[in-house]
Order: sequence, then structure tokens, then C-alpha cells
Amino acid sequence: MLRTGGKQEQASRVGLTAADLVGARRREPAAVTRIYSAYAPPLFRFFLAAVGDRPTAEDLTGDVFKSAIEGLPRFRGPVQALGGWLFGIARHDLADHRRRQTRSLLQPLDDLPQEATPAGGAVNPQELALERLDGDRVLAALRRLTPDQREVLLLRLVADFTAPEVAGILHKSTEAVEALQHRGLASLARLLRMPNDTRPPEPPPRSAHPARPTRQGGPG
Amino acid sequence: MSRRRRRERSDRLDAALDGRLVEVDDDLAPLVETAARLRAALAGVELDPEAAERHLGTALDGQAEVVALPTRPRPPASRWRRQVAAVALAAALTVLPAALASAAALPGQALYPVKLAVEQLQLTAVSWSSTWEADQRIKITNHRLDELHRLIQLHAADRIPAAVGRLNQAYVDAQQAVAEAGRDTGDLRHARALDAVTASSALALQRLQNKLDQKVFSPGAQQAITAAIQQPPVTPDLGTGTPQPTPTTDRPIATTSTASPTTTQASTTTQPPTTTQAPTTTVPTTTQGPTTTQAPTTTVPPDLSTSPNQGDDDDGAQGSSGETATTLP
Repeated sequence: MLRTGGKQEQASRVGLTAADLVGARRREPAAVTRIYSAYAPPLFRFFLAAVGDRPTAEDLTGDVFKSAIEGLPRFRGPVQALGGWLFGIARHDLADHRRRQTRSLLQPLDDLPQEATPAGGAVNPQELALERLDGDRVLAALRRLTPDQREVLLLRLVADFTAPEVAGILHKSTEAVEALQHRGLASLARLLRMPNDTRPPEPPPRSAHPARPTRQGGPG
Repeated sequence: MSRRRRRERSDRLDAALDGRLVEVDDDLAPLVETAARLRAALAGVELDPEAAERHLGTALDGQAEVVALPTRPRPPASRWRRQVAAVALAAALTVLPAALASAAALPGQALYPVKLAVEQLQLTAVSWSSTWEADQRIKITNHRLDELHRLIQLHAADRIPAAVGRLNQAYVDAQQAVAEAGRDTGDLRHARALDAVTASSALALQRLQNKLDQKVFSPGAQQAITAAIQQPPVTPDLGTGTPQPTPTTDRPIATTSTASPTTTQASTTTQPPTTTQAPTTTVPTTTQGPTTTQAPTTTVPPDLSTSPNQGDDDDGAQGSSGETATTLP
């Protein structure tokens, strides 16, 4: 909560204000850029962890942003709910992407460790090798969790939402999210304790697809 | 375990993940650590600046086109509209709050891709002029240098290797732009500016090398940083303006970690000093200037004397290595 000039103005956790929301609805460049700067990086990480290759993650991030800017005039939630709304769109787009991928019989996302390159497409091989050392194992193990657990962990730890916020995005209770988080981390820790476990994760089951979020009229 | 106890443990775990003060017992500690590893696995991942630029362009005015990096010769007249749009967009972005805020962003921070995108737009806006582009390239190199300084200050070991790589690339780009500006105008102003950047880069790398010598970073980080410093750049041939790989035999090298430089890697570049951009034939990430550890001005490795490029700016200690002398791929 920010106070400016004695007038109370609601601000989101990422520093956006209601004025940004209003401006972005009018496609004012400053407001659009602020919203993009606030949410594009976590959206990209979310997608990268989920799909495993940068170009697809970038495209999905751009798609979400484009959909969001187009749909923003219909978003009636407070600015604090914007992140949840964006990630609701992200979940829907991710589900769509997986459905398309399944239909076209593309390879089922087994290449996550090879593709999860850090830092702006860095090409330094030594840098990549070292950063992948632990990160690859963690991300590969993450993909072996149940879809619910994986999604909770991504939203909670990568997108940095609180448990109640994740609950709002996933339409679950906070208790359920905390339980999933607990079980997910326990499974992840167990998987990471396994030596030399390089088995590729199973492809995400169809049941992982989240329900289509509401793109209109609220934070979803 | 009772339901109530499970719930209580889940609550404590959630509090710990939020950074709230909570007792983390032996059962919860591995979970908290695992969460930290997951966060770290993606913490350094950044959106590609070109992608950010494309996304923003789409949202701002429907231009989904990725703006090409500076090219020469000057674009044909039929592209003037796009140029004007790029200049306008660059100017607009530069004064936007997010863009202004991004000026201080460091790699890994949310606004860093915006910073890079703004830089690319600014580059595109001046790409019709070799001198303006050289100015801009030097400015960008200084940005990268400043970022490296700050990351070193912050001990952000995980981000330093990428920062070194970016500085290296920015310098090579600047070197090429300066050479081109020099050919176009005969003005050595940019060459002198680049020399200043070279000296500053050498100091930064010296500082980094000192930290490596003091082993202040974790072993993995030490290795990554060393590898980044050693990463060979592709240097342009300043005489012809044609980029060419730096020769492998006498590529400048940055790293040493011993106090007794007894052997040397030939550390000078092969660009002859006869080009018009006289003082600019160096590459920053690789031992130009005082980049080695001890007594940089007193030891001149024997084989450096054979280099045609040993000017006054060289302290003569670069590339000295001792037993940890680097080898290049």
C-alpha cells in the first residue's frame, strides 16, 4: 500500500498502481511498459520451466501479454489481482500449447534441461554448463511431479505468488495449495536425492490442462 | 501424522518460503533448501531483449517486427518511415518511467531486459551515422562495465560470468563501430574514448582477478568467472573492417592467479598498430592494461617484447600466468 500526497493509492506487490491499469487499458506506452516489465520476466520463467525451450517460452510470454493488453479493458479487478489474471491466461495458453503439441505429435517436452538456458540466451558454454549443473537437475525433477504440484511450485516459487494468491489462480483453497506445496517439495527433494537420476520426465498428462480462465470481468 | 500436525507443518513451510521467521526443523529444512534450489534454477533466466522489444512493440503500436541491429550502408530511402518510427519509439521509451528506472537495472533484475531493449532501439535510431553509432556503442560498453563493477561489488558471483561476456561483446561491437567511424571521418575522438573504456575494463578485470585470487567466490563460481574471462572474443580487423576470429596462438588472455608470473601467454593482439585507429587495438576482457595480479609494471614477459603492439598503455604484465596459465580452445 502506497500513500501519495495524503491520498491512498492501491499498489500491487510489483509496484504497479491503479493508474497504470487505467493507462494500460488506454494502451499508454508508459503504463504498458511498466506492466510488461513487472510481469514478463516471471511469465517467461514460468513458461520456460513448463515447456523447456526459450523460443516457445518467449512466444507464449508475448501471446499472454498481447492477450492481456487486448483484454485489459474488460478486466475489472484491482491492480493487485492483475498478476493472478495474467497467470490465469498463462495457464490457459500453456494448456492450449500442450494440446496443440499433443495433436501434432511433437516431441513431448523432454528437452527441458538442454533448453533452459539462462540469462538472455547466453552462449558462453562454460557459463551454461555451470549454471545448468544444479538447475537442470532441479527442473528435470520438477517435471516429474504431478501437474498440480508442479503448477503450485511454479506459481509459488518462480512467479513468487503467495499461497492465497496461488489458491485464487488455481481456484483451490489456501490449505490445499499449502498441502500441494508441501508434498511437491517433499517429492522434489526426494527426487533430487536420487543419484544420477537422468531419466526424462513423463509427458504431462491431459488432465494437467487447467480450466480455461475467465479472460473477462475479473481477476480470474 | 495427524491431520492437524500436517497442517501445522504445511503452514510453517509456507511461512518459511515467504521468509517469515519460523522454526525450521530437520524435517522442513530439506524442503526449504529444495525450494531455494528451484528458485535459483530460474533466477538467472532472463527474457531475451529482442523478444522483449518485439513484445513491447506489438503492444505499443502493433509493430511486431524485430528491429535489425545496426547495419551499413545506410538504409535505403524506402525504409525511412521505419527509421523514423524507430527513432520515435526509442525516444519515447527513453523517457518512459520504466525505461528510466531500467537504466540502473542489473542482470537478473526485472527491468534489465527493458534496459537492453531500449539500448537496441537507441542503436537502431542512430544506425544511419557511423559516428553516432560509435558514440552509442561506447556508451553501451560503459553500461556493461558499470554493471560488472556493481555485480563485483555485490558479490553476485552467479551473474558475473554473463556480465563479463556481455562486456566483451559490447567492447568488440564498439571496437568495430569505432573503426568504421574512423574510416568514415578520420576522427580519432572515438578511438580515444574507446581507449578510456579499455583502461577501465582492465581495471575492472584486475579487480575481479584479485577477488579470484583471494578465493572469495565459491569454487563453481570461480570456475565460471575464470572461464568467462578466458572466453575468446571475435575481434574485428580494424584495418579492413572485416571481422575475423582472433588468432588462437596469441590471443590476449586475462587470467592469472599466481603472484609470480614466470611464464607467459603471448597476450597481445595481432592487429598491427599501423591502423588509423591507433590506440584501439585491444580487447578489454583479456589482459589489456594492468589485469594481472602482482607488480604489473615491473615484469615484462619475454615474448611480449616481440609483439608489435606493446605500446605505452600496456603495463607489460598481461598474460603472465605461472602454473595456472590459461590455455585457449
